[in-house]
Amino acid sequence: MLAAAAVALLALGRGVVMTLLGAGAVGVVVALGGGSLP
Amino acid sequence: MLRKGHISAGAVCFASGPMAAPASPTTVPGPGIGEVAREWTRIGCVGFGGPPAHIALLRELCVQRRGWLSAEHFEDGGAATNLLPGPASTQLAIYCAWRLHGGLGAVVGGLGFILPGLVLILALSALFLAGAPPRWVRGAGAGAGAAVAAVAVSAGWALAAPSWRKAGDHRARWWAYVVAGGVSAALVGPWLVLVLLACGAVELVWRRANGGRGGRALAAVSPWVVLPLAAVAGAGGLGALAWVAFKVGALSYGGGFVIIPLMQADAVDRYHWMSDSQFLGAVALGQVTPGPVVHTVAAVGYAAAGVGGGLLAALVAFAPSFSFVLLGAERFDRLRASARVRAFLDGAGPAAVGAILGSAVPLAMALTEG
Repeated sequence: MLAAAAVALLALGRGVVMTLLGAGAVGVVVALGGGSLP
Repeated sequence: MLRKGHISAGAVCFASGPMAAPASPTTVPGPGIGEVAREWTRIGCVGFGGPPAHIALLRELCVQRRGWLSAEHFEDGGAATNLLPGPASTQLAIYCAWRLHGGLGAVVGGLGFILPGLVLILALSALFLAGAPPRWVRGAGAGAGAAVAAVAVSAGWALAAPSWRKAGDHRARWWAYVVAGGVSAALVGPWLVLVLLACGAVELVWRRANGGRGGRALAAVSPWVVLPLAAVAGAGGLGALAWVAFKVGALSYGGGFVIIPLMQADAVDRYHWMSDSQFLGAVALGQVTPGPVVHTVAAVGYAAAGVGGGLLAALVAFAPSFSFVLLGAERFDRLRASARVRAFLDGAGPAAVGAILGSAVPLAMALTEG
């Protein structure tokens, strides 16, 4: 799920830094929501 | 965006400095050493986004805003540093400071450019690579790490088009070099440097055999440096860390993601300094912190041996860039004009593009193994 979110963020064309920060934010939300982490 | 960018000609400004060209119509007084320290540190603090951002910031400062360098000199510096192994935009930052204030300027400017990001990535490494990080930190690392493989594909794709256009009449060999780099990055990461060098050597020999100039081995790095480092790497520990960092800083062409397969096999599989998921997080940290993306090597060093390991890895990885400028900048014009160097890079360059694309394979596999 995290990878899919990352690809979607990259597809939005926001650049590498914003993509990685956005993906990190998604990861925080997943972690705090009790989702599974690698 | 993680490419050794080509610098387009822009506004005509005018130069001074140690190598000021005779064509300079006027002279703008250069900066003092304090100003070099301030401005290069500022770029080191706000230089998010990799080499294209660094080049744009340096150009804006040195050419457009202050007129310390002519557009021509800046472009020449960018072209010359693109021909060197290691992080090109870091070398350009050091080179610009060298042109303005000689050797002292190169050291002060280079450190100003490198240190802010280094401090930040070491601090973040302490947070993300801790034995039992908070759950939200693990989530941030996992999320950013999940994006790394996709970002690598994007970076490789962005580089492929200009490289293909530059290939001209040797497009069959271009494909061969791309495939060689890609397969090597996917399957034999630790040996990728040898494959990149071999592709460059093959192109050299090919040009020689077909009537061009070239053919002699390109001894970019002295074996008196390489062999002892390679020897101590076998013992593991700090010697191995120094060897990994040296490969990143002195033997890799293409910068950015080319260094990932180099480091991943050593850091994760061979020396077990970090897990797959930690490595993905380290790569993401190198991308989101300002300054050189090669800072990833400091995160690997931190995982291997704490803050001291991070500093050692950074020192070894960036020392060649300082050496190239301090010892060789006077000869950059000859380097640019060298048919041998250009032939070598016509082989190593496409292989680096393939390596960036191929690096996505072990990165994606790490997602499932983390």
